[in-house]
Order: sequence, then C-alpha cells, then structure tokens
Amino acid sequence: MSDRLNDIYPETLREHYENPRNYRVLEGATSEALAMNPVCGDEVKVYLKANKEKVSEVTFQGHLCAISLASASLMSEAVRDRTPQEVAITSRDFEAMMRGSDSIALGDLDALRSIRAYRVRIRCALLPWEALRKACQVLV
Amino acid sequence: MAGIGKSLRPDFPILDQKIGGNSLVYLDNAATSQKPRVVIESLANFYSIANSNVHRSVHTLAERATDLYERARERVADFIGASDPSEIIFVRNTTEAINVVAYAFARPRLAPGDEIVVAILNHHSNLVPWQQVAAQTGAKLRAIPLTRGLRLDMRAAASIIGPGTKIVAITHKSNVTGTIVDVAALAHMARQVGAAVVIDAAQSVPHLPVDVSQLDCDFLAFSGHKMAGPMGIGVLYGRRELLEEMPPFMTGGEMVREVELENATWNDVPLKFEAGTPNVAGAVALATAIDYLSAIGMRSIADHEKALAAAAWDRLEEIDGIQCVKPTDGSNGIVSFCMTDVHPHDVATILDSEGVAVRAGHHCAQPLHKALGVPATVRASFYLYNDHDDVERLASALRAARQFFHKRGGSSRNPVSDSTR
Ligand SMILES: Cc1ncc(COP(=O)(O)O)c(C=O)c1O
Repeated sequence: MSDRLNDIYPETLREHYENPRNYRVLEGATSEALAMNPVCGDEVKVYLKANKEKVSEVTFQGHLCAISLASASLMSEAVRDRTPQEVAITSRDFEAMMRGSDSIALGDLDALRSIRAYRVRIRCALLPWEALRKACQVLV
Repeated sequence: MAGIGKSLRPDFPILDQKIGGNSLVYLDNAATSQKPRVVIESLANFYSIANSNVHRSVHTLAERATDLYERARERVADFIGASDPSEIIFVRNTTEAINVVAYAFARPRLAPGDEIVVAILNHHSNLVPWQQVAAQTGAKLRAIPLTRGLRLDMRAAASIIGPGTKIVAITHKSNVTGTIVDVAALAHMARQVGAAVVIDAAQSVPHLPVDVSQLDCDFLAFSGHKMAGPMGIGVLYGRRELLEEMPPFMTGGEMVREVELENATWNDVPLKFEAGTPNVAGAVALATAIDYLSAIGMRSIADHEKALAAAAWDRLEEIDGIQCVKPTDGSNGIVSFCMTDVHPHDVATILDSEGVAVRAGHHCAQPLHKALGVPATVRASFYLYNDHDDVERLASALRAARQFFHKRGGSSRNPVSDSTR
C-alpha cells in the first residue's frame, strides 16, 4: 500500500470508516439536522438527544465518503456527554484545526489533520459538524 | 495519418511530470484538456510579436493583431462548417455562449406558456440559464428523458416538441455518459414547429467531426479549453439572420457603430456581440489548437477515444464491484462508473495517489445523476494523447482502491437511495 494513501487515510480514519460508531437513526431524538455537500451531493443527518445541560447521545446517517463518515463517527464520540457549550467549543476548535490551526490538540479527532493537505476534501471532514451545529441551535 | 496516442505525449509539456512518484495519467479531459506546446507558444508569440488592440488603431501592430484575430474567426468557421465567419462570436466559454442566447435571443421572444425543451442529460450550463429564462418570461421548461440504454429518448422528444415549443436546448454529447444525441433529427422536429435549436457542443466539437450545416442547428456553443486551446476563449456559432435580429447581450465599446450622448447604434455581427477588448491571444491560440487537432483528424481522434473507452470498459468489468454507467451507443471516450461501497471522491483520491487524474462528483449534471439513481460517479475521459497504457494504469489503480477499502464486506451502509431525507 502506498505511503501516500496511508497519509491521506491514516489507520484511525480507516478504522472509523470501516466500523462507524453511532451510525443509525436515533429513536426519540430531541433534534436533528441535515447538511449537504453541493460538490458531490453527499448528505448527512445528525440526531441528538440533548437538553440545555447535556448532549447525551449523538447519532448520524447519510450518504458519505470515507472522510465525512470517519469525521462523523469520531464526532459522535467526541461530543457525547458534554454540555452544549463544550460541544460548541469542540466544534469551533475542530473547524479551526481543519482550516490550519495547530494550537489545539483534539484527541482522536487529530486523525483528520492529514486531510488538510487536500484542500477540496476539507469540506468533507467539516460536513457532519455543520449538521451538528444546526442540530444544536435549538439548545442554546 | 499523423500518429496518435502515446506518440503525441511529448507535444504536451504538462504530461511530462510525476504525481506522487508515478508518471501522470491524465484522464480528466472532459473537464479540461491539456495544451500542446504549439498552443502555449502561440499565446507567447502573440504577446511577443503582435499584441495590440483589435479593430481600433491603424498602426502595424494593430493591423497584425486584427488580421490574426479575424483569421482565427475564419479558421473556427471553417472547422465547424459555418459558411460565414461573421456567424462566429468569440466569448469566454460555453456557459457564456449559452447565456448570450438565453438573454439576447430567448428572453425577448418568449411569452407565458411558451415551452423550452431541454434534456435530462444537459450540463447545468445548458439548464440553469433556461430555468432563468422560464422564470423571467413565464415560459415552461420541459425535459426529454433518457432511455434505459442511456440514450436520448427520441420518441419522448417527438411528443414533447410541439406547437408550444420555442427553444430546443440540448447537449450534443453528454459529459457523463458520452451519449451522442442525434441533433439533426431533433432539429428536424424543431423546424416543423418553428422552434430554435441551441446545441451545447462543449464535449462534441473537441472530440468528433462537427458540421453545423449538417446538424442544422441555430446556435452552437463550445469552449477552447476542452479542445487543446487556452482557457478564457469560447465560441458561439449563430445563424446569421438570427444574430442580426438579436439585441446585444452586453453593451459598451467595440460593439457600437455610432454613439451620441443619449443613444447608440449597434455594430454589425459578430462585433455587436463582442463588447470590450476581446481575448485576442486566446482566439489566435484556439486557431492553433484547431490546426493541431485537424492535422491528426477529428475522425481519428473520435475513433481513438472510442477504442480506449471500449478497452477501459472491458478492464473495469473484470474488477469486483464496479457499476458501469454505459450507454448502449457504445463508448464515446467517456467512462463513468461507481465502485460498490467506496465513495467516488475516495476512489478519485486513491487514483490520484497512483498518479491517475479522474473526476468524481455529479459533473455539473445533477438531474442526470438523479435519473441514474446515483448521487455521484467517477469519470475517466480520454483524449488524443491517451493510450492503452493509461487504461492499464486506470485498471490497476482501481484494483488498488478496491483493495484499500476491501474489508467492508457486502452490506452497504451507504445505500444509493437512503432514508435520510
Ligand atoms: C457538456 C458541457 N457543457 C458545458 C460545459 C461548460 O463549459 P465551460 O465551463 O467551459 O463554460 C461543460 C464543461 O464543463 C460540459 O461538459
């Protein structure tokens, strides 16, 4: 396997792509939102169980490329059991990281750093986060 | 016959490079083609020896530039079988050419209830301008569907094109399936009801012999950059009588005859449609590109691409889990497909890591993809400098892609039509 491919799709990203966490419609969701990528027609719906104190569950479903799918899977783990304010901060930090910032460490989400070298794919990584932000709007 | 395929590669400086350690295999020709050295030099030459504004000054350089520009117009006319060079208008690209027709021809003529006929396979640039015209005039948009064999449904066309039809705006060759439309047959239907025929030839003029007198269309649009010419130069062919009746699309300098403070009269065609300083170097280099293509022969180019696409289909069918979007009229140089469980953008990224440049997405043809039942496809599109080696590189890169994401097994988590909406 070429090194270049492993740079683009590092192990963590591939693992999440092959075994995405929380890929399902959430029964009894308190909010949900859709985001679409006009370039490729991809779309993702993010479902939340949340109140003003806590986002207790995050799931998603959609038609996604490996990068969006891994990003959504990692996201669903990174933001559960957090306050809406913490979710907003992680979301902002993640976007800043994808747009070039190196000042924040984001744990498993750092696996998506490699995508920054591929300008046209950055928005694939951001797509599920856009849906998450929309779904959170009702909370704050 | 001059050579074709691999023997032409040295003419194209850009092809002589490595991408990620592999020699470049460029299979994104439907998006834009590469340029031979003669075309690149033609641009540099124009600026080195002839640069001047056209149709304005009387000095020697102006003469030279004007002469080159008008000779480029003649060359284009000759290339597409237009008998009168004044039927050739230089624009930026296909999109602009279609907009000229939509705004200056269609808008003033259409009334509520009139019909504009398009096709499902049209590129957005031959669809969205018509949606705008429809919205502004109250005209109705109707679309000719595809057959199951991915060809234009001519029977449906015959029933859709009727007394209410004023415009028939169709893509000559699909940029996704390579389907070639029988324009002459459509034009025949349109003539009987007095409708004008507007042809998007962005994918046909670069790849096949095209003769406007045989197609019998009223307008035809194409882009220089897809036919070995530079970016920023395109062509609108229009039937002279129609161009003369039309108001200008843009107004300003160059396109006027006489200007008083409160009004102006228009220059003759084609200058009436070329407001402002045109892309003279681009037009001159486009003529050089036409010379280059003509020396090889458009028939040979079409046959060569057909053979490569046919070979590509054969190779693709051997690879596990490839769904081909293949029209029954064969393989006109464009090969679009999906790979089960691997998103088109991931396929394209993996191919790129092997040095193979393809495009993934909806290729500015969302209604077509909707009809095909897939949101996006991977597209390999061939041109005269491609060869069978490139087909092999494509096939082996696809096998690498298959392997890279092989663990996922049969159950598709990304069904093509899912329930997220
Ligand atoms: C069939 C077709 N029509 C129109 C266009 C638009 O061409 P341009 O972007 O040069 O205006 C393209 C290419 O993008 C095309 O493939």
